[in-house]
Amino acid sequence: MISVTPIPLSSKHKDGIPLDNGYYALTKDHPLYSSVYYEAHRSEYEEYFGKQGTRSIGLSILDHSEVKGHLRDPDPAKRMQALFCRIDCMAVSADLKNAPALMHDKVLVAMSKTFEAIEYLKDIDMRMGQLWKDHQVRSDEYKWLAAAQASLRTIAGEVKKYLLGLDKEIYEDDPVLQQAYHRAVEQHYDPFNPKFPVQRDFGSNAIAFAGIDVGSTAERDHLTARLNVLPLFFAVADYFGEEQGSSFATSAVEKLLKSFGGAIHNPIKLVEAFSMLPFKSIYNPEKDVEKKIDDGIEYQQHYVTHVHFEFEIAPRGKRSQLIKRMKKLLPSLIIMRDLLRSDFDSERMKSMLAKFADDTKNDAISESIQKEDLDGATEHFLIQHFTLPE
Amino acid sequence: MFFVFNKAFSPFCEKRIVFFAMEKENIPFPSRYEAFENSLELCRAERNAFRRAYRKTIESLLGEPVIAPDVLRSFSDDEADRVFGALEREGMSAEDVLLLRTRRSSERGLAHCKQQVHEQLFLVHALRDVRTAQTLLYDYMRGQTARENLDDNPVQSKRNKARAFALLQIISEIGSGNCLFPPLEKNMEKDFRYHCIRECESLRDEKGNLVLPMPLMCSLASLHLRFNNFDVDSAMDAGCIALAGHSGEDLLTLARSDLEPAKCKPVITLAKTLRGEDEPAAEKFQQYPAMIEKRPALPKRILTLLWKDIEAARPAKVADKKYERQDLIEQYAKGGDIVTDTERAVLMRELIEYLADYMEALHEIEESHGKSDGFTICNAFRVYKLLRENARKYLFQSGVDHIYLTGSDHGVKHLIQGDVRFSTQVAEQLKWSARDRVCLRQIAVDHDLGYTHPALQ
Repeated sequence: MISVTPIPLSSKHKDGIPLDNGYYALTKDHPLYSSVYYEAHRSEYEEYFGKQGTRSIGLSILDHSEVKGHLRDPDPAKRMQALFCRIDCMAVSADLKNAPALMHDKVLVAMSKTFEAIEYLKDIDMRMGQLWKDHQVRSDEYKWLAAAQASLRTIAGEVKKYLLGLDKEIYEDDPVLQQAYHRAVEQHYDPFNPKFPVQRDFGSNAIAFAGIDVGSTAERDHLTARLNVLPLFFAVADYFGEEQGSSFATSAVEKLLKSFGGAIHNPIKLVEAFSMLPFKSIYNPEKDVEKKIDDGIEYQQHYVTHVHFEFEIAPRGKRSQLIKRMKKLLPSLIIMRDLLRSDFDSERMKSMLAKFADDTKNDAISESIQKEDLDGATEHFLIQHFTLPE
Repeated sequence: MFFVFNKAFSPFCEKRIVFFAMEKENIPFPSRYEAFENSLELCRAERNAFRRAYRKTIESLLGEPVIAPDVLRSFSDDEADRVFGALEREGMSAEDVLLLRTRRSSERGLAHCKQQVHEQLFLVHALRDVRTAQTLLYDYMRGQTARENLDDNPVQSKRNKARAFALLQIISEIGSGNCLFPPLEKNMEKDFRYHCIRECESLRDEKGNLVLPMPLMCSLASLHLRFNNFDVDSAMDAGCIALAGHSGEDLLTLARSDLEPAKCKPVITLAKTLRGEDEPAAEKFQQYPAMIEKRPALPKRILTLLWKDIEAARPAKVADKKYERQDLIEQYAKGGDIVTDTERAVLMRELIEYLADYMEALHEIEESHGKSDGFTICNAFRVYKLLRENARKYLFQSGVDHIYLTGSDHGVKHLIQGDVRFSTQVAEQLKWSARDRVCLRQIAVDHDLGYTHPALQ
């Protein structure tokens, strides 16, 4: 059961996204600066579009970040603003919003790998901290964790180098874009804190905008946005683990719903619901409530103009290479989790790694196991696990 | 985030807030409120003086100019040189060309003066209600104090309160008439009264909310630019994108011709055909000239010039500007391009659709014999100029977006393939007028220009 609880309009405005530095706050101010530009050229606009047209343009420029108004407002400026802010807020999918680099399979694979490495590092750091408190720093476990920590840190750094090296492949024959990509990754991609870009980029790549339809009744207009759920959606939900995976996969859908006054309280259930697509939609105009799959999604309409979202499964085949890659590595991910279990047992771990070496014909791991070198075997395992596409 | 200061929130500020709270029933009126009216008078006097000078100049010029005054005014310096050169080649006397040049200068001077007055008025009107702003800010601070007492993130509440207090200081400075006209740069550095507005990084609180109404915040954004020595055009400087240089003869033909809305059908048909197709691929850009070829002479000429503009687009070195787009220039010098060919193709399609909607809007007005309220400009050069500047803004936003790759696309993809496509599609289904569609297209061009603010890069 998915509960999409409406947020009252008054409190929605107060519950903005927490901002933690000037840059993001400043991006939020962009309509103010766009308006300053518009005001500086207003007289010219009045010549072209007249007073009414200019007012309409100005209102939408100044205030387009939040959904407001309705499409039957007698004031043409507010009517136009009502339409434009809705359309602008609907652009959450990669096909309408992402730079090409952030839709590239190899970039996404690499980002997923860094994320995974950092998740392991968090577990390792915590465990090492505990061992330190227990005066166990000379234990075999601490030694093994320290070696794994060093390997994972190196791997995170290597992934960043790998991302930097993709510039020519992504932006063929275009040195400007290659350099822009290179600089952006170099300066702003922190391999030790990858959660935000991973969540944003996998979420936006998991859905695609398929179109918009308009329907009108005597009471109101209805906008129906059609979105395709791409195969990547389910791969992301699986790959990053039940809890995080679902929240990553649904991040763009959540952003979309949030703009229109909805919220997803349980992303896991939404992933389940999407796996049962197509939805059967029941709309109760008296209560302004939309129900799908027998109360699976309930979405309260807050505005006079109602916006509906229709999700469809996209034809299979898209992003197959990326998905293949994400699925293929799952077995070793499970091994990694087993290795990090709190009951440290070097013999159990060696036998696990030996089996993995046999299955994958990895001689380096086998040799280390023969030499009773668990640290070396772990390092070779991690290298294989985090191998990136050529 | 509202304001970011060098020094942390001090006990002194806290005391002032408490003091302010005690006085809440009687918020003091700014001491020099009348300064607003004085500033306004100054602006108006300046405009009136220029208007008198303008009339004098116009009276000294006999007869109507061969090019309409509004068209003359819209020529850039480079375009004017080319057009006047063409007129001389046509046989116009040097004297007449000089008169035309004088007329253009007067027209541009008056327009510039009007614009300055408008900007001052905009500031004065938005900021005059200082008392309301103070009350709102006080309410905000009281809310933050309540949150702090409830242990609901007290650190953040404290910071928000400090920022709101800083804003209050700015508002008070404005109320004292200190912020309308920036002082000389050397004095500004020394004068503590201007530090708060100069040092603010953003105009929001920690949660990203605006504390004051949008128009007032917009005025503060305008002040922020002024007090950091940015004029608006150099802060969001689409002019740093150079387009093709066309012959004076081409420009002159456009300047002397009017579009005929009744003959807009072939352009509308072309736009409809393009709308029915998939999003254009890179190679489509080279196919447009052949498609444009079959259209009536004037739209064909406009679209051909626009196609050449987009093809030739490159970053230009802009003199006398505080902020040069060095990055764009450097990258271009290394052999790159500011946008991809696919983006060029998408942009060209948008310009064709814009022209079709604009002509349809003119036609709607002509047919209805109704009050036009704008949409009367059918001079081919001015319509070309509107589209050309829009192309420049799109190219600029895409170029900046590529250079500073922020993750989200705020260039051609989002603006045209997202906003324009779907908003005009809905507008058509709702049977909105062509005028409404033109406005929607213009909103799409302008609404994200703020992302090109230098501080964001």
